[in-house]
Amino acid sequence: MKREKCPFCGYEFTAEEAASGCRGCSLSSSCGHTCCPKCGYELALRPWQPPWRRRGRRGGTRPGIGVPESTSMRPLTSLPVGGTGVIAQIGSNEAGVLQKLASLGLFPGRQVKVVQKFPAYVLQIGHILVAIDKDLAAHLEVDIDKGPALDYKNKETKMGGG
Amino acid sequence: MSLQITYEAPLEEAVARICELLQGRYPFSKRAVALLLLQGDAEMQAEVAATEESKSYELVQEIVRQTQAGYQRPLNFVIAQWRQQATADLAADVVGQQAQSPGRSLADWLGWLTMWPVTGIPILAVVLYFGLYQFVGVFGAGTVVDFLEATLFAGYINPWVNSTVQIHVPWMVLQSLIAGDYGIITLGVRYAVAIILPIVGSFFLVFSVIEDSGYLPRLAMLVDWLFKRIGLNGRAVIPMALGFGCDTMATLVSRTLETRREKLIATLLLALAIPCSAQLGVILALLSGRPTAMALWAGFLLLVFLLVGYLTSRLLPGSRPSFYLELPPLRLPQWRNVLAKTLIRMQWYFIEVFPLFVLASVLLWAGQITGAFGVIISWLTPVVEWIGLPGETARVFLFGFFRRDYGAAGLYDMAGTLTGQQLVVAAATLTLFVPCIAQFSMMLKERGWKATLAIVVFIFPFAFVAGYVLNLALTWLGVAA
Repeated sequence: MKREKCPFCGYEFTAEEAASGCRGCSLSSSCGHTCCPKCGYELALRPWQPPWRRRGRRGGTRPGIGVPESTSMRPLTSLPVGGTGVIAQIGSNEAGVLQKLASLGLFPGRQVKVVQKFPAYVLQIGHILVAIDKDLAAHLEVDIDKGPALDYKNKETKMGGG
Repeated sequence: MSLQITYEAPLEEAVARICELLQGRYPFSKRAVALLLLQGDAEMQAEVAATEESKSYELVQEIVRQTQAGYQRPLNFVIAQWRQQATADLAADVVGQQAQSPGRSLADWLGWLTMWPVTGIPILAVVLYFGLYQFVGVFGAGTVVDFLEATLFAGYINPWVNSTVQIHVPWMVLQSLIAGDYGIITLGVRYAVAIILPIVGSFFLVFSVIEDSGYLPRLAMLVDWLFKRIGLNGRAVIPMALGFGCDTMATLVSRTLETRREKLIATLLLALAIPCSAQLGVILALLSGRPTAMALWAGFLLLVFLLVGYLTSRLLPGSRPSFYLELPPLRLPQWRNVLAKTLIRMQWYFIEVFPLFVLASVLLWAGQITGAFGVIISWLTPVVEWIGLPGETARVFLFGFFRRDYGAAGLYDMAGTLTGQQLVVAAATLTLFVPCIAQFSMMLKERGWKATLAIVVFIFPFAFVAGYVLNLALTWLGVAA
């Protein structure tokens, strides 16, 4: 997690901490500023850029970059269309996120196939198709080498984690 | 035969301890109650709190807290995961699968085509063209309405009612309540039966077919990207699409959306920019001979829908909505189900609408008799003239006050006297203009008076300012509609 340092009082804080201070402000998602949670000093996170410039920057963080080649674990969003993997990790403990994923049967150990990535992620789990948006898909990490642990074709294996 | 899942030790321990504490009688077994409490089920918490002594309920809560402390993940996720494992194990013993044929079936192909943006958007356009325009607009609002309205009511029923009333009812005042320009039968019943019912009926028929085919979840997936920009998620396509049938029903359905923010945005957009089928049918019929006018009207409303949605989502605080939905396979709808659904919806609509139509004609009659009607029209006339419409359309807007579709039907009556540009401006302003009485009361019930008041106070001036801007833009650009 990236830490910001307040130039006014010197307090160091994470983006999450700062977001608590911005809640309720209607422009918080788009102003490009944050407020120090300690003294309230407003600092610019990045110079303001028109939207068409921002897109160019976002393209730089292509999914998959930064994942070491040797491991078979990677974010689901980095799989190509048609790629399969077994859900290894859900990178969130937020009850809302977990409940949504659970309601679609997206548990660790289940094998998923990426059917489509735009406009939303379409995943095949067993015999059903589910659609989730990019924000939810970003929480999922998959293992592309492992066989399914939670599938009725091979029942010996037990689920991992809990 | 019942099947019991054995969870891991900490969970089983907690269940056993809670079961011991529970003394009251419950509709389910104590084990089920204990599991629901561990999952944080609000309804069960309230019931247990009411049934048990406060001391033992506190102990129960303490057990839940302690158990949760042993896990990183919320307990309801842990329990769901165990259940998923148990069902997978069970299915492995009893379910077999034959090797699938390598080729895809027709339904698979069609299902895939509806999801891929490049083909999905043209398919949406085809569905809208045939489903909405051809069936609801041309057939429902055109052919059927022409027959019922022009042939049946104007030709037989109205003259008969008028002459019968004139012969048998002695007072002028009472005569005009039943017959004449604003009579219950000649206006209220005629609008409800001859204009609105066939349009709403044909819409509900199309909607039921689309609903049962499994197309809506695919559409939700397709538009999620766009809906995120206006503070909603793809799921909101269901109330929005239903809004093209009846905004009142759609406002009720918007409660299925997740957050208060989404509900509020959906309610506002339904009240502002989504024309209901009665309005839509009449407007489609009005503009059917003028493709430019139709495109201008639809384009303008789409623009308002997106712009207002975008601005509202920027101004309202709250987190980004998230989208998750199962996509069922495409299926051929069963006619029995489709017809049953259509009839139930038409029945709901008719029961909800008919009294309001009668009430509206009584109010209009009272307004006419007391002169209040004339006063309101004289207030509205300059506003209407300001947006470039003839003063007589003030009457139509007043009708729209009582019911949206009522107003649209009034516009239908005077279509011949308007130019193309005036038709576009009138249709657009009337679409944006206030929700009908029924939708208004549903908004009050679902969103509370504060939100409703805010929405209405926004919409009223916005509709006319938008109409003014549209009229100005059309004049300035010299577009001949």
